[in-house]
Amino acid sequence: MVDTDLKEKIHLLLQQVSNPSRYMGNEWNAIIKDHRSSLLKIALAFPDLYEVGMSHLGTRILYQIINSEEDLLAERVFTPAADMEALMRSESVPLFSMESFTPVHQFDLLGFSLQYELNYTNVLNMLDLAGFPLRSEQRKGFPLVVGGGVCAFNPEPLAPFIDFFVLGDGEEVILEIIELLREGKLRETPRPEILQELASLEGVYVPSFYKPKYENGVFAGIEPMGTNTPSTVNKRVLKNLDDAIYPKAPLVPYRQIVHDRAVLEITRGCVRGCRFCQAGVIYRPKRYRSKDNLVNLAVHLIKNTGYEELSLASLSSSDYPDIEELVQRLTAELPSWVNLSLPSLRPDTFSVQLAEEVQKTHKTSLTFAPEAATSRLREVINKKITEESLLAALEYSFAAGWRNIKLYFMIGLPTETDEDVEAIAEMVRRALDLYRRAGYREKLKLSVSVSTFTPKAHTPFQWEPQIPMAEIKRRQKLLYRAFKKTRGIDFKWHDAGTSYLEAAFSRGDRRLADVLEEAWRRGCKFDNWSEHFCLHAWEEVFASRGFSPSDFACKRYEAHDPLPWEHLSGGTSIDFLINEHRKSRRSKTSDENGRRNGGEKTCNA
Amino acid sequence: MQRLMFTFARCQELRYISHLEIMRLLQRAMRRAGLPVVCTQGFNPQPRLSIAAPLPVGVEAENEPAEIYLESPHLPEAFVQKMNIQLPRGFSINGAVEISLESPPLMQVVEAALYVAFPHPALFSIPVESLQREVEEIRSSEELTFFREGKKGKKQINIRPYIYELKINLLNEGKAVLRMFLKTGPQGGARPREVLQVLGEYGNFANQVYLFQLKRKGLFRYAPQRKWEMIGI
Repeated sequence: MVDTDLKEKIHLLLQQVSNPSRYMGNEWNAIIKDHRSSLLKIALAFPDLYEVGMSHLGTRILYQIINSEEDLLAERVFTPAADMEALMRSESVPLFSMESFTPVHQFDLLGFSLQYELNYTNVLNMLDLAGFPLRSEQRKGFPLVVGGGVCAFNPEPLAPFIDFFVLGDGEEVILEIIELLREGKLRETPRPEILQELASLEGVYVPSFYKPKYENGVFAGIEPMGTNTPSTVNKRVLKNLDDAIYPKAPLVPYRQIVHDRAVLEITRGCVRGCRFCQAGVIYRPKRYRSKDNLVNLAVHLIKNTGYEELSLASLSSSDYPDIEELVQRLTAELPSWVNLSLPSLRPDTFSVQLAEEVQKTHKTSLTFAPEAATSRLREVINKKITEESLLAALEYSFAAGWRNIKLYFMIGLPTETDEDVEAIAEMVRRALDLYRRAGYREKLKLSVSVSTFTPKAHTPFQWEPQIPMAEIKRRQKLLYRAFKKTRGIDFKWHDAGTSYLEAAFSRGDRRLADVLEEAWRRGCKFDNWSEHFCLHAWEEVFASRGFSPSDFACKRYEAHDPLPWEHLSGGTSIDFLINEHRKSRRSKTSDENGRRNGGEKTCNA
Repeated sequence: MQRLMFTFARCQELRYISHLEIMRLLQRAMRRAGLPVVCTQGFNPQPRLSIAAPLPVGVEAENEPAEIYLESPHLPEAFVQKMNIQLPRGFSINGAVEISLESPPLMQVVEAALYVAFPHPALFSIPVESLQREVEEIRSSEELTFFREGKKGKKQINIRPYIYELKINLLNEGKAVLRMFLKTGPQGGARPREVLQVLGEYGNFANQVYLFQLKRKGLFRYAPQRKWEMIGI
């Protein structure tokens, strides 16, 4: 099956590009199977560079699950960087897989991981590089294309390009999908029938079976077509994390990737209920892996990879029940040269003590995300931390020896005033004062990172607008000025233009598909990379279709308005979201997960 | 504490990984092999592993010296065997030997590197005779200007003094191989692609330089008897 000519052609390209190790494959623990003895072949694509895509856990889990089946095969595909793409196009090299340099069109299914709206142009670019027509309706005879991940919860801007989407946890449904495709392949079932069968699986959304309506240029609802099409697509929920396959021998890249460490997912879901947070909703309910399972996995992960760092991945690692015992057992069982890291800590002293336990010798950095600097605004977003507990956590961190602290804030949150923005600078100054008063000799590296609120589907803030671009810039400037007199901090903010585009697509409807395609034709790609992003081009394309990004990004929806993603369920009831939204306006916080308010529709407890 | 010198080879796809990527590959293989690597002291402890001279991306290698410190003594043969189980296809350890803790770091000993370059048998379009002419021209020149890309932009350097030897060996069926013996190491030197680039500019094939397959045969030191000696086991 392996085309030696193509292989040699690719090798000649690798002689000419920068960072060729992005494309060569053959990493430690790569799974290389025989194409001839595989009944069904799946290409797992990530629409960004290798070093970004390889840092994504979900793709690694699916890779493991599929390749664990004897007669199935999964190989990886990433977006080539601009220099590689140019050579591929001039030498007519189609998009190929890492494992065997096989062209993507020779697979049976092409799956895209959709984690970020600004990767959408790369999805189109990869389809084109693979030689696929962009639109599903034109792809007869080509492999089916599926999309999954957080963006599948409002995939409408991608609807014409992707045959079907998967909502929620992929562990179980991927094999059900493959089983249907395998039977379909044997029986030569026509494509529309296969799509019909797929649509009957829980968690699968076939966009071509739904028809949106527009009235006076405004989205006015979406209707299922045909009798068997469900009116609402529910997300898939994996009941028991402990029973699921987890990659014990993950790939070890040669190239340094964004998260270059072994990753152990200790929990899925989050009980915190921050009202802006999409992950906090769509990964519900919160599930844990047992300590026995985690210790066993950790030992294998380190033995099989040789990584010196193990990250305990979770949306809020200090919320794992009995995290102290887990950490003690891991420290006891793992070799002494392994560093544990806790990527998402609650800003309180308990969490810092925990971090101290795991980073006794090698203190890297600590990251806290207060998000808002006034208690009023924190109540609005349901971030239940106090300034006292944050400052106590910082004081403890300084005393314990950390000299590298990162603080994350957000601007543009609903109800935010200039006072709230300026309070960020005051909070940071109080943190600095704490450090200075204690008289430590070393220099403190305090990084302050400020992003812009972007409303996301299925969150209590899904009805809220993003603040206009000019206003983002004004508030950034306000903050910049407030920080000007403060020495000794590293202040970063997110580019206003990319946040604006992200907001337009995160709540966009199907009409944005034409915008997306046109932008890609004009050369937009890698929109999350500042060297590629061109807001001006996007604005022109939006205008050519009679829109502005702000029609979507800055739109305020009323509670009764139809929403482009209303036929997809994130797992919470609309009443719960409405109620949470109302409470935010009265600055009322909610209990964990808002459980007492009946928020959890799919809770297995 | 034990100090081991070892040599490694790489071929095929593994030629595309960079020096830093080789360092990480070796570190992780040692961890997987359960070898007790000594780490540096300080804020950010690093395994005490060093490679005699960075290997350029895209260049295969036959005999690259490197050294490692281990907490407890190991038979060099056992080290080689344990490592080779943990190394990917295309990358292997040839051999290892214990060396004195007092001898100078390998990196300071390296003076020169021997490369061979094979033009692509089908695609490279320059006849051997004309290649030979360009090689002669370079050998008889006293100055060869090259613009090296650095962190602070392009820098003009004369690479002629770094070219100790340059010649074409004829293989059968009219094929040829270019041998380059170049100065390398901490006091500066020339990189094989730089020499090819200059050759390509003389011979009007600068756009075909990527069609040369490069291999480093080994690294050399200047032995006391005024002879070049390959560093190895």
